[in-house]
Amino acid sequence: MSKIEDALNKVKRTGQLQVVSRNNKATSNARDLIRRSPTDIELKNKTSSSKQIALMEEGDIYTADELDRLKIIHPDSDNLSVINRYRELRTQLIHKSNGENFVVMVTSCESAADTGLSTINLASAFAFDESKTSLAIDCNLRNPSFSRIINKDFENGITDYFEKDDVSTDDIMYSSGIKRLRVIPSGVKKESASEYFTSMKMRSLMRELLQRYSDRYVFLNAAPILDSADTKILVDSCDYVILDVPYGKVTTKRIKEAVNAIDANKLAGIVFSDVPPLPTRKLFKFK
Amino acid sequence: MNQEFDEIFSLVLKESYARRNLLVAIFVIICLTVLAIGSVWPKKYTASVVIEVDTSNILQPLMQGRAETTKPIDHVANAREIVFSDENLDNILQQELWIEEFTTEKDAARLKEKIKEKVSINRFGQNLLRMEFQDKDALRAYETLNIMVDFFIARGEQTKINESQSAFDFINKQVEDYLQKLIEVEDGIKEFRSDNPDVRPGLITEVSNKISKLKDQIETTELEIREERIKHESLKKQLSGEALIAISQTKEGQYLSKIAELQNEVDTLKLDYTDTYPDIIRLNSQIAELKDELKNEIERRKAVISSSKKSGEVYIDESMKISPLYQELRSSLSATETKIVTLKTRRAELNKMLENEYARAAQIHKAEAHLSDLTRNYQVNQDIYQDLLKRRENARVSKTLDQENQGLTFKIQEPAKVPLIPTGLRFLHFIVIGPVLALGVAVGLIYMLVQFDPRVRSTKTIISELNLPVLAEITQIKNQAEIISEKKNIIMLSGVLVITCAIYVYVGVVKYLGAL
Repeated sequence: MSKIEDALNKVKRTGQLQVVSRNNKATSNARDLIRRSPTDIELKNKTSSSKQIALMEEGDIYTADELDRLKIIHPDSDNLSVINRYRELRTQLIHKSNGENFVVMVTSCESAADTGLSTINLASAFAFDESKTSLAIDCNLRNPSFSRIINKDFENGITDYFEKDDVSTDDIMYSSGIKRLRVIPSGVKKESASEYFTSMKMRSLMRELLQRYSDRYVFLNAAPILDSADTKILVDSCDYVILDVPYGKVTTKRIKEAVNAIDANKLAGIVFSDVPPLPTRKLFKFK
Repeated sequence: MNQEFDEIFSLVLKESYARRNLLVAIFVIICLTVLAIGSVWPKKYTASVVIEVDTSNILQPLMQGRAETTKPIDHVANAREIVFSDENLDNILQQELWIEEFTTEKDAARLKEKIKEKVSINRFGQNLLRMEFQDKDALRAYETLNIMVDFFIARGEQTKINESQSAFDFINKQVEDYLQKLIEVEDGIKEFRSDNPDVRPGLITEVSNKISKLKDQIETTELEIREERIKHESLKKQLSGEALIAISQTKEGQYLSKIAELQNEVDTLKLDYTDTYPDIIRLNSQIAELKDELKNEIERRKAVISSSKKSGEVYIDESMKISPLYQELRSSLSATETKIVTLKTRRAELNKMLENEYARAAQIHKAEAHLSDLTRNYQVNQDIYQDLLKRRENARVSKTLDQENQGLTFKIQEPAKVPLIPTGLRFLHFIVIGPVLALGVAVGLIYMLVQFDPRVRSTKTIISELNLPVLAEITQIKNQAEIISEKKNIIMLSGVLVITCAIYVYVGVVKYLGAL
């Protein structure tokens, strides 16, 4: 209870509470879905998003040290270069969407790559901003990684939502330990989930998630696109795709193939990741 | 270009740091391997000697101006042949230095090959040979080289003696050949002389004198003939009518002078007398008579000319025929005719003689050419023969000189010394080569990876080649635990490098102290 009070007080102090009006511009699939069929959920939950953010149940929040250990970025981190890169990335995406919230998918063009941490970090970067919340969904059912990344056990996941009728969105949404960031884990490990991602339930889930809060940004962690039919299908359900290119692992040919598998309108751009660092000064500091 | 270099440089740095374990391993392994090789690398000592070779061939000065030697001698090949001869190698193996190196025949053969490899013979300058021998033992290198050089020089002198002997033999044979040739030519001349006894020097002058004399005579005869002909012509003319006319004209002249004389008398008389004076009358009648006579005479002459023109014959007055002058002219005419015939006969005779002389001259020319050919041959052969005789004596002298070892072909310019410093790669070289090579290989490998690995290592490639937007370039994130392990790793690698350096210094110092 005290946390909620704190949050409310903070909001009052900063005066950041603003109702962000929604633009009804038809640009992308996820938004189209919403507009075509407004549902009860939408009407029921149409409340002030800022208030909702402030009232969000955060659970246990990780300290800066803990986040450092988990390699998750946070505003107080020493690693300024990485944080700034993620901030730039965030700015570019928001600029691209004209300030509207969106669903963005992160996938890699390298088979062995795991984009889980990148997805969480991107989501964290969005969550830096107190007026925004983010939601990371682990859609890499074959190789789920969220549990490991944020060091938490989850009971249900997205597969449970699809398979069991009694599981609602609230049941699969977990706090991440990071402020304003929630996660949906993958749930039971599956070889293929194409049928889920093409189902109506997926569409309605996306609709619901986007619509519940106008300042919520949804991040999908998808399996490497060239090795997963799921990911190719999932492209339809998102607004933007970020293609992760790990340093020194893929040829230009493979990048081309991956780009060809993605709708050109949805490809936001490439993130060149895993660049090996040069020795930093930190290394020579002996405490 | 510069930007590209910066890009590659930064990539090389990044990759090197990322693969530091491998690089340090490569570096250490190469360094230590080179050090190990260097410490067991055999030392090589090279003894060398410089020999001056008299490049002039013995036949060359002996035959100067007479014959050219065909090929220059390859002294290096010559020396190699002598030094690598079995005789020399066997000789070396019999020495104390080498006798312990082999036991069986096979070993000996192998050792010979090895020794051959250790010898190097090079020519430098115009006529200097450098002979080198390389061995792990300085003293043995020196001794062996000395044995080789002694053998080489002894053999060289032997060959020189052989050479001068063969040069003498050659010239001697030439002398004999030319003598034979001379005799042959002489015989040829003798034979020719007996076949053509009248061919002697000066004959051709005699013949040509005779020819010119004959030509003179013919010319004189021709002149005489011409003279006689003119004489004959004029005699003939005198005998013809033209002469008669001349006579008759003289008659007319007589009449005219008589008339003039009488007229003169009349004129004188008329001074004293009249025309009726009888003397004057008489004289006048006389003059008239004479005038008639003259008239008649002119008419007669005209008639004679016209008649003679008609008949075409020489008209000769009867009175004339009997005159002594006419008779004389007739006899002269016939004498002239006889002389012309005589002269013509003589001319024909002279011409025949001239032709004979011409034929004789041609024959003499032919014979003389042959003779002079023979004589010339004889002269040339004689010249060469004389020259060769002189040269044979020279050759005899140089042969004797060589036999008494007076004219040395080989002279040791720079005698061999016991080598003190080893040649070739020394331990110090290895000390330097090791780290340089190791660093080069390590950096080279990384450079090759960056340059030739097709996998994308730079956002520039994505932007320029694929024309795709790059949103961000994110370096690996490290947590505290990883940073600590990285620190440990760096300390460990530094330790490895320090240990390697220590090994280097230790081995180097030990080796140097040992060597000193």
